[in-house]
Parts: sequence; structure tokens; C-alpha cells
Amino acid sequence: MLKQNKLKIILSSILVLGTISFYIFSNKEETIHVLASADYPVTENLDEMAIESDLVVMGKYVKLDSKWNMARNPKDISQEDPENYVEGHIYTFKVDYVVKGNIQNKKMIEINHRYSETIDIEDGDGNVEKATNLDPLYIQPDLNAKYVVFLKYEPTQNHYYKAIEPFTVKINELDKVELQSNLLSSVNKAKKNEFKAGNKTFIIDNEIHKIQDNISGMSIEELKSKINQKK
Amino acid sequence: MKRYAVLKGIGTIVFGSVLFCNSSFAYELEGYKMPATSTSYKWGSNLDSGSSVIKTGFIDAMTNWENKTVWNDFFYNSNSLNTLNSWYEVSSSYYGRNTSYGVSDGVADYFKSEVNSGNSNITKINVAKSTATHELGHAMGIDHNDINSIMNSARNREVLYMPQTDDINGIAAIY
Ligand SMILES: [Zn+2]
Repeated sequence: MLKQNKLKIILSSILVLGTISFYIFSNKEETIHVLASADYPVTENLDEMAIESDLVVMGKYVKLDSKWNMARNPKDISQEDPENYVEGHIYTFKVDYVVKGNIQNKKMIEINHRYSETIDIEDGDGNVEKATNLDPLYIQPDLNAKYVVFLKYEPTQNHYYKAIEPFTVKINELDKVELQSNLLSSVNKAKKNEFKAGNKTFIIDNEIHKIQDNISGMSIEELKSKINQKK
Repeated sequence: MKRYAVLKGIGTIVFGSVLFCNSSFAYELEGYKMPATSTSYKWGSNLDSGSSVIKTGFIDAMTNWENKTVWNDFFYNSNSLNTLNSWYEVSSSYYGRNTSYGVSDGVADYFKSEVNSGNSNITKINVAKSTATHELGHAMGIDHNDINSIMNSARNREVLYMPQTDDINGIAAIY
């Protein structure tokens, strides 16, 4: 009798412990950490920004015109890539002055800004999360500010793209230039994108390398003459 | 004479330690590594069949890492979790990307290295090689820097496409 009771206690303890540990393990918070790095040309040098550009213009961003998938089907680039999504934001830019290059009689050009990309992340249970990774270099253009932008022409889409990083310079009220880039040591922009799905936390960390600012504080005339020397 | 010898001694130590610092700590590390210096890979959907300048770039990049550093081997296995691929992004400035997964414990579970076939410069073999070598550097665990290195974003990709001394030292420091 006593023996049977003992057995019952042992068996039920095992059952209870088993249930608790199953509950704990199946609800375990899990973090999936991804490190994303990209290879794009970077410079700390105004001369190089000018040399890399087909077009350097002064003017203003007018509006966000459209969003599109910059990733194209490699077999037919008129189609979107079914496997990749890279969101580009196309802005209309009103040109007031051409420093380098030629846009014929056009007053408006379209400039593409890389905004985000989708990264597939396995969650360890066989599911794939489509995670949005905001581009760590993206800066939303200020529609009220004057800019000088350093661009390359892209013939397949008839748009302009950044020539190099950095590629935009703001002009302040005193006609002095302010270099724009999230790579500047002075900029403390979050380069981490974090989100939760069920009991899993996904962290995408973007690896970036800081650069020095050798441009801000120049007068707009000084900037123009330096670019003209490198035409 | 004796004082000169002491000064010379101090000078040598100072100069030597400057050299030592420069040569030993110039590379930057990601903070993770691959589980072993012998790692499998498979080709992604865009590189799986046929040949291309990007595929050649990856093959040369793997050979160079194997020959020049303590990294042992990249070997093909169609079931590998590690993927080498290309994608076509309309961009004149984006060359490549690497994503390393599950890095929080210091050892990556797997990686995906990709070269952008939409970059018009990538048709130059040295540029493709430079980009592939750079992305594999990330996969193995070395990070961007601003010295003479394959991991420098400001490098001339047509000329600098081989692992440099600091890259070799970086890989040696990890494995
Ligand atoms: Zn990189």
C-alpha cells in the first residue's frame, strides 16, 4: 500500500515537472540576431564626390513622386524581382543651377533614394520572417531646404541616383553648406531594426563605418569653385 | 656613450610598439566568427547554372582567402545553409551585401553573401572579385576599416581585390 502511494507520488511529480518544463521551454523568449553589411563607395573628400558624379545640381526637393522595387528580375529588368524587395523612393527635384553636367532644358529631375530592403530570416522553427530593414543611410529629404546633390544617371530607368556616399549637401540661411550623411560621427541614428513576432525578437544590426566631415562650413561659392576645378 | 645606448633602447621600444600597434590592431572585427575554418557553400538561384563574372569573382575570392590566410576551405555542398548569390538592384553605387544570421553568441549560424549584378561596374572582373572578397570577409568576421584593406569601402575596386596584410592578420586573430 505504502509502496503504491510512493510510486503514485513519484509518477505525478514527474508529470507535473514535465508539464512545467514543457511550458517553460515552448514559451521561451528567443532573440534572433542578424548582422547586415553592405559594400558601397564612401568618401570623405569633396573632389571625389565631384569626380564620381555625372551631374551636380543645386535646387530643391519638390515632392515624393513614387515608391518602387529597385530589385529587378535579372532576366527581364522591366519586371520586379520575385525574390527580392528593395524599396526606392523617387523624389522630384527642381533644378535652380547646374554645377556639373547637362540636363538640356529640363527644370525637374527624378532622384531615387534607397529606403529599405526586405531580409528573409529563418526563425529556427522552419518559418521565414520577411523583415524590413530600413537603409541605415536613408535621410528623408527636407522639402523646405536648398540642396546641392551629387548624382549618377541611370539610363534603364531614366532616374538619377547617388554618385557616392555622402551625396547631399544642405545650404543654410547663411549660404554655408552642411554635409548630410548618417555616417558622420556627429550623427547618432539608430542602425538597429528590431521587431517581435510571437515569442521571437528579431534584431537586424546594420554595420556602418563612420567618416569625417571635411566639407561643412564652406560657403556655397567655395563649394562651386572646388567642384568646377574637378570637372 | 652609455646614455646613447639607453636612448636608442627606449627609441627602439617606442618605435617597435608603434609598429606593433599599427600592424596588430588596424583591422576591425565584427564580433562573430564561423564555427570552423572549413565551411560549405551553395550557389543561390541566380548563380546556380552557367558561368558569370560574379561567379568567377566568388571562386577567385574563395581561393585567395584559402591561399593567403589561415582560413582553410570553402567547399561546395548543395545542401549548405551558406549561400553565394547575385541580385539585380538598379544602382550605380551598391556593390554587394552580406547577411550573417544568429550572431548573438559570437558564432554565426549561416551567411548569405551577394553581389549586385545591377551595378554597371560589376562587369569588370576585378570589381566583381573585390566585392566578392569583401563580402566573404564579412562572412568570416572582419569588419569595415579605413586602411589599406579589402574591407575599406573607399578602396579602388579595380585595383584592390586581394586580401591585404591587415585582412590576413584579422582572420588570424579570429581563428
Ligand atoms: Zn562591407
